[in-house]
Amino acid sequence: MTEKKNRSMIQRRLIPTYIFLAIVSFISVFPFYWMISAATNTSFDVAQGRILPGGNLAVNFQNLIGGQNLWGSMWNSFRYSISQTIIALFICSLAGFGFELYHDKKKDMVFTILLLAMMIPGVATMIPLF
Amino acid sequence: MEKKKGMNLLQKQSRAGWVFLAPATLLIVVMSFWPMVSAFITSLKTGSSADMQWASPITYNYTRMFADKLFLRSIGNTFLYLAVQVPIMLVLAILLAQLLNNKDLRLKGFFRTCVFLPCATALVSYSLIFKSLFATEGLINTILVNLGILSENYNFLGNSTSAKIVIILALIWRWTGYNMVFYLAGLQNIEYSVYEAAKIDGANGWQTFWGITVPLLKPTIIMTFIMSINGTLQLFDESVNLTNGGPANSTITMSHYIYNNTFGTGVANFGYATAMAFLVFIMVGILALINMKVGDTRD
Repeated sequence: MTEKKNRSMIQRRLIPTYIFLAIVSFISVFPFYWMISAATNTSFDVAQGRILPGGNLAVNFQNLIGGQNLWGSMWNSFRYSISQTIIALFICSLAGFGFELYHDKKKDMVFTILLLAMMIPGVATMIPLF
Repeated sequence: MEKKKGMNLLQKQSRAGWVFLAPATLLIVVMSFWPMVSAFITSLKTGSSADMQWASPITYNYTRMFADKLFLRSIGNTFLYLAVQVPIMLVLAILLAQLLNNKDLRLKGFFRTCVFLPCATALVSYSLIFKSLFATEGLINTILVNLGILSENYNFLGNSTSAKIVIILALIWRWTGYNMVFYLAGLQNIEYSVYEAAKIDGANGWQTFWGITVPLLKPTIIMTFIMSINGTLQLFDESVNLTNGGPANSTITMSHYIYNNTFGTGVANFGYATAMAFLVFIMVGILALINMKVGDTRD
């Protein structure tokens, strides 16, 4: 009895938290909803800021598939991401294993230097790699 | 040096360790460090990509940089985004993590997913969503006008101050959840008994936060801080897609300006662009160093 009362009191004290979290969640999710509903509207309605879903989904999809090489570019993206993930997993787990199991002073130094590589801006290496 | 028939165990182990490290080290050296060196060499040259020559005073590109008003402005913009966005985002992230770590909270998974969801969007697509939300005839304007806050539609992206605010809002929206996950992981490593002890000692919420949460989260805070600074200094997609640097280049970032000098506007100033990129690298390095030093002394 007292425990039940206690629990409901705790929940009541959490009401501001719930409200705050609900607002943050709404802000976080709203652009997604908007993206989905925009997919069903005409460009004119989207530009006018229409919130409700419309009936233009099929036409938009036809434009999407007809307008460009959707499957080709999707295939490219998947190919890159899958092969990159597999290779990265392999090489990184090798290195992680090496660092963890056989570590000494020299390897710790190499580790720090390699971490520095994370800091190198993409724009800096873009031109030489290009 | 005496030659033994075989290596002893320790040497063998060490050798094995290096073999394990070799592929990763090699790749990082080839893909990151070597380009850095060659970027430095390029930054001392002028001319288009086909025939590069050594700059006549060898530091020409570097002195030119500091006389370039637009580049100085892009530095100013980048640091403005940094100074405004990073503190707001990290405080918000830590607050959310603290709230979501409450063991009495219901629907925890739901809230966590919602807050983390923005991180699952591609940079380009969320920039475009924000662009259309904040368009002159867009949703935000419609709402604000209907609520009576604005008397007429306002061109958010056409004014340099409001365009900067939109970029900062977009950044906060995109990255808060990302940082929150780190804090949440850090908070879950703090044992509940520590908090209980503090409670028994009569500490209030504020004291507990500053006395326990912040010190114990410090490694995480420093890490997210470095990552956020690093990311903001390299800000590119938002500037390109949301405002395209406009109006009149007033929201351009360093990376965007470098890109414009390389591929963007038809002029290929590879030497000049790499010189600027090198400056960005130095800035990132210095900031990271400061952060690590600050983090070290107190531990």
